[in-house]
Amino acid sequence: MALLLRKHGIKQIRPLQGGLEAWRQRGYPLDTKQSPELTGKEV
Amino acid sequence: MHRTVEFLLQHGYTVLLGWVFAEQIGLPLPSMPLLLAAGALAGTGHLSLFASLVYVVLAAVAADSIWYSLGRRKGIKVLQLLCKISLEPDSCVRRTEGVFAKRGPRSLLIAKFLPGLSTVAPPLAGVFHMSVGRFLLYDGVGSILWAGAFLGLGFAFSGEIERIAEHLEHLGSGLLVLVLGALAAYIGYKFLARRRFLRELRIARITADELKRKIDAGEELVIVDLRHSMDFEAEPEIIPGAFRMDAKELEEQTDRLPRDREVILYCT
Repeated sequence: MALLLRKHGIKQIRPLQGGLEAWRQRGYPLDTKQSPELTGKEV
Repeated sequence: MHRTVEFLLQHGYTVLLGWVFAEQIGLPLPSMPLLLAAGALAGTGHLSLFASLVYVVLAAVAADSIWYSLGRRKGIKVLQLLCKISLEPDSCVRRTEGVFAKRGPRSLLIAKFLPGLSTVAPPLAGVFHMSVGRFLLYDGVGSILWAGAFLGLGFAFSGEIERIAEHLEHLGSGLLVLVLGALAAYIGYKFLARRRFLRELRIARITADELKRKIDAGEELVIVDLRHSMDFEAEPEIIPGAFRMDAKELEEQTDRLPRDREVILYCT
């Protein structure tokens, strides 16, 4: 996926090391609400 | 093939049972030539076609049941472990989940015909808590179709297979060296390409601690939760502020991603 995005000109891609599991193991907060959609306005 | 046939003649059903079980449990042993050879031996009256089918199906269902049970108990981690040993680990989980999401339990009917999915589909059925009865039904029918197809082909073309085996024997070890060389080159190419790509990614990876610091500092980031919808349903939690979309959606919306900010991607 990261390789594909890079081909589309998005250079600042940073995969999260260890994924969601690493975030969870650190005890960092998680949202349970319905996630927003990428509309283009946010970015 | 000729050596396979000789080996089968000596050890018969025990080999079928052990070999198929070993392959289905995850060892890199190709069962197809053995099934074709067993079918051919049944065609010439050396083995029983029905008994061969029973042994192969028993071995496959037994191995699959172990993975199914592990999937039920350990969850998605079992699938990740299996995909780590595949040649395409980056796409393995996503591809398997894609097939499972599209076809549901019916994916067990075709999994054995698709390279890479055979061992991964049973634990996935466990991860998503398919009932034991349903799993055994679909996995059993899938195993019968798979074993029946290759044993049947061997049975139907037993004469031709015998001739091919004799022909290959005349070609000597040169052909074997050529085939093994091509296989080794393919695996080597895949391995090197993957190492090169991972080296590039390793430099850019962000740790959970660094991401937390950036969020707390109010940095403008785009965080994308790339988990498959089935993973999300199993654990419906996201990192605060993350957008949830699968790989296909993200691919279609690359023009909406900023070029001047960091894009954080995460999976399970």
